[in-house]
Amino acid sequence: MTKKKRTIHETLTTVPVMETAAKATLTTEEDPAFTALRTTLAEVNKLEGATGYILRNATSAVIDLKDPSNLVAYALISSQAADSAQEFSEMFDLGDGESTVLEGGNAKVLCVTADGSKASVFMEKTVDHTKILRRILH
Amino acid sequence: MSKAVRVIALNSMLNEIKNACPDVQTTFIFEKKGKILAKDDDANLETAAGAAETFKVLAERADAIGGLETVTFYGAQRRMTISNMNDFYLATVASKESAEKYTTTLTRVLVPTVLRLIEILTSQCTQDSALQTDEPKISEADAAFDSEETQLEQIDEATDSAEPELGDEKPDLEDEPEAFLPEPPATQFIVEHLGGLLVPPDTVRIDNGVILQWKELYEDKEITEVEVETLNGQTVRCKFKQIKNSKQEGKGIIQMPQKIQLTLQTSEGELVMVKPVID
Repeated sequence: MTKKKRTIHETLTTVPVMETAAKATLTTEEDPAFTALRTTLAEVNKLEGATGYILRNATSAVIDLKDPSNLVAYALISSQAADSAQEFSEMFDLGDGESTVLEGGNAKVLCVTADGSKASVFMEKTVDHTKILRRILH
Repeated sequence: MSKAVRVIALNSMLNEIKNACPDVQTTFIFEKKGKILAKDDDANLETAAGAAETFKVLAERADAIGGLETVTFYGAQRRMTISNMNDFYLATVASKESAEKYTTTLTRVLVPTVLRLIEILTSQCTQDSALQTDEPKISEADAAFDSEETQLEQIDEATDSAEPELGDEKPDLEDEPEAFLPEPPATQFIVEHLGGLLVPPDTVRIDNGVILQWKELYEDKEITEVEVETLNGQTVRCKFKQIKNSKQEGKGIIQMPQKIQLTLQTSEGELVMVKPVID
């Protein structure tokens, strides 16, 4: 599988890029926290069972998925998970959203908010997401 | 089991979960389509309905991960978990400090068990009502019988007022009630082997409660035999007695000698339908 890496130094709608690349970076300006998180996620993505990640903040987005065919679906679920977390937080007074874990029939998604960035890590169902969470938060 | 009873059972279960885990603040159960099935006493129905809708939208996007089985939202103060259980979804909101594993284990064991139990009871009730489908006929028959009686009374009155033509019709009408004998109700039993030296080989033993029901139903008729039918359609007529051991009463069993089992090609643990023979 050929992976492309793309860097676009302007704010864009991300979808057209996501449809054509398994690995993409969209950024206007990277802050150090975002860069550090991106590095951590790149390491996490090498772990057995990890299948990719999406990282975004107000100005930048990084996508690295091992299976590009899931790209749009993963981006949608990642985005929806963040929206739902916000809604549930308001409904049940959960407090500021820290993380969300979605367990599906064949995969798991860990969504974390850290330093103003939102990261979604995709993994096989058997992976211990708590270890990944600890790694991201420390 | 009526829907109301089901809801009460589920609501009670949710309240018990809250009692067992004081850190659990809100629990409710909803269907995939978003309908709230049950909630604990403190849960707000409107909020629960809104949450079910929000979850529905999220679940629709989860095909890429094989459908959504469980989702947990960790907030700074509380944690919310929504888990799929037997086609229903259980939502639990608990404080952040609560023992997640304990709560999860409790709900994942208790809720599916209660849901399964409700399913079994519901299906049992459905079976029972199916078996009692004859009862409305009986009521109809009774109504028809009553109606006939009323007609007869009217005719009697008319006959008293010396109208011979109507008097001629009376015997026919009096014969009518015979035709309205209720259809013998079939009752489902599980076969239990009946053995012993003094056991008559042509007699089954059944619940006294059922026998009494038959006696009530056919007051004037003497019932000496029953017709036993297997699910394969094998039937046999035999004598019957009530079960001797009172501990076996009400368990839905029919004690059957080996000979009858062989005739019916059935055995212990199999289901049979039994109805009284009304001659």
